[in-house]
Amino acid sequence: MHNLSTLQISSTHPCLIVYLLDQSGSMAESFGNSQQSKAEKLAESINEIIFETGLKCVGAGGDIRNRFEIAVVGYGVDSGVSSAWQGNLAGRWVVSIDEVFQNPIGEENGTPIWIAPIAQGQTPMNTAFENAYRICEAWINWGNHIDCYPPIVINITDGAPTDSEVKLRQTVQNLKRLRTNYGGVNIFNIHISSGGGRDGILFPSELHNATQNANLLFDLSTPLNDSMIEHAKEVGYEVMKGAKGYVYNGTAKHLVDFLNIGSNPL
Amino acid sequence: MFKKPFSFEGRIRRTEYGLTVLINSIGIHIVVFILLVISRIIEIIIVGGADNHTKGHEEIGNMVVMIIGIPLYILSIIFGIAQGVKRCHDLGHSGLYMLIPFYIFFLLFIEGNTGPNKYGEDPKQLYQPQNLGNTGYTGGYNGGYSQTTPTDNNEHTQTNSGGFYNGGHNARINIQTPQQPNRPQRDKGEFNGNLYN
Repeated sequence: MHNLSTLQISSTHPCLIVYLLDQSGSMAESFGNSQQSKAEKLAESINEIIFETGLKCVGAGGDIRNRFEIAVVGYGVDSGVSSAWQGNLAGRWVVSIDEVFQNPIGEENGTPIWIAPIAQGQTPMNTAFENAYRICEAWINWGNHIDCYPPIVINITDGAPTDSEVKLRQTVQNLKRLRTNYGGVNIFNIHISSGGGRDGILFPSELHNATQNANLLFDLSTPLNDSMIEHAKEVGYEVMKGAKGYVYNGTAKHLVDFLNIGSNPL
Repeated sequence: MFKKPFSFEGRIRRTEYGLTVLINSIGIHIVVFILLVISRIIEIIIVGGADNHTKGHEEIGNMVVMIIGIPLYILSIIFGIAQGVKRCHDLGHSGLYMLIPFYIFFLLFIEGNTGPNKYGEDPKQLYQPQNLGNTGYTGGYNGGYSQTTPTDNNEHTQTNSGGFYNGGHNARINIQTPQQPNRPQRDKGEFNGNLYN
């Protein structure tokens, strides 16, 4: 395995980020004390992180360098899974950041948006991760991606899988086995809560006396790299070496921070 | 129902297990009867008539019953145990619970766990209409980088990556995004193997 410190993410060695968005019916509930629903806050946060990711890629000439490729997968509608891109990007899976920026579906508060809030159906989380596995496998085997930073899969959910926990564990085990020459696929999970963040679990390295679902999502998660840990500390979290990319019972602030930390690999 | 009758994984409902018990208890008797009839017919064919029937011919008939019957009997045992284990799973229990005397009555009458448990999905929910979209690859993808040797200072800066990636489109199902009348429609379907198209 190559040394991660020698890797530079660039348009010739892009990084893939796959966002798995829980779009089940329960996401219509309000998010803590906010007037927004969880689905609305999630869409807003994803749009923000995509926008910030693009801003990081602006080159000296003002153009956007394709350093990141993004897939956004929604699960819930009709108890199924599909790409969450809309408009001109509808039906697409992995899209380079430059093309993303060229094809927003609208604008809110002066910034472009790409993802609309949706809350309908159940939570086929295993099917979502199966699709993430196939996307990551295809991406790693494409071109020179074997020499790129390993894909990052970020799952945002407010509940437990309704398809199969047993199969989900196996699917994620298979996903964890996918690797580039710079390491294995990163899998980060954040569970957001309507309850206002009570009993939140933030970037633990171990878990004790937790609920079944908390344990499940913890087991599915992989550790943050050193750069992400530093970033988390800068944002104000107490994060130890070996901490996982995992938050349980997160608030809206946790969601925004989590996406920022998880989407900044180096 | 009876999708994987000899599998020891997953869960089944009371109805399927009840039918299993019926098949094994009544069905086995029917099969034995049929085999006995077949064996007697074979004996008659061999000896050329019932009057010529001897003990040796009877053994031939018994052998036929055994050759066909024993494997069927073994299969029925495996079938019964496999279905019983899956019914135990539906109740959230290990298959070893079948060793408990009279546990079969629980298996026949007690409703299974609602929702998924550690042994698999709720078989009751599996029977409800669900549309999970396509689940397999329907095509590969073509194309490649047309860049020079990658270096840190040689980033590609093109503004439209569409020309690099070729591939086929698959059939799309358009659905109305709920409560978003002004939003563009989204396509539905699982990842089909076309990474960039």
